[in-house]
Amino acid sequence: MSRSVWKGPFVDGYLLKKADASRSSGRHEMIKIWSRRSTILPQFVGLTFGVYNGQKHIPVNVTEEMVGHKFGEFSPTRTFYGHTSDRKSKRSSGSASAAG
Amino acid sequence: MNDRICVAQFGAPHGIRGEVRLRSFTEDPAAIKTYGPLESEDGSRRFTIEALRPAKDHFVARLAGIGDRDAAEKLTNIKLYVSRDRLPPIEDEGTYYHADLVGLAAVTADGNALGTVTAILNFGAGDLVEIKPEGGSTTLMVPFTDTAVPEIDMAARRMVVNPLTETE
Repeated sequence: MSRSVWKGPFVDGYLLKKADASRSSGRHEMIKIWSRRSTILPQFVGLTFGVYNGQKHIPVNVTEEMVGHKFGEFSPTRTFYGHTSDRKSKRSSGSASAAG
Repeated sequence: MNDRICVAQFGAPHGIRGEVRLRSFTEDPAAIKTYGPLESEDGSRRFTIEALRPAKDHFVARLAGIGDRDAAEKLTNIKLYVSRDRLPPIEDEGTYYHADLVGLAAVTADGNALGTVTAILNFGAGDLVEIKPEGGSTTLMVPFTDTAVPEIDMAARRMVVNPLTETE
């Protein structure tokens, strides 16, 4: 059963303060958080959060597509790396993480 | 750089005509057939896929020289490798095979050693480079971006990493 719309998205209050502080500092930094249950809000776009997975903080670069999801979705708690095989990755521009 | 890359693994036999299940690890699973003969882990055996068809969550492969179930049973769990040279060259600048990045030395802009790249991960929020410090157990993760990884020198086998400062 989904959450009632009238309540609005859930987010731990301290995240908003941390996000504001990071944005105003303008530094390239990772905000360490433990709140996996919080919803990703539009004002978090462009910031990098370190979302705790029970062992360490996984860097999560927030983009527009992630708004509405929970932070915990991007920080798995179980280890499965799979096989490297022929997979490849493109180094993305750092504007998202540097925008903070 | 890894000379050989694991691209697939045989599973259980399928039917009585020597067909075998095959789990492909390649980006496009069906591309496994295009890599030509596949080698076992020790390189002693080579397998040529004659036919490949998709099943539920795997492929069913018919191999050259494997004609009955008994022969197919002996292949169970064998991992299949191809030479790194057989991967097609990447034309897009700034794109790298994970196999090439794993094993690079990670250093800071000042030249201080951070460790060795152990994996490229993606949990849905962009690619991450996992770095294992020398003698350390806890790994470090940095986004695979121009800001965090400003330079990759494949010839020197090193990657310049700009670790994120952490704030609570």
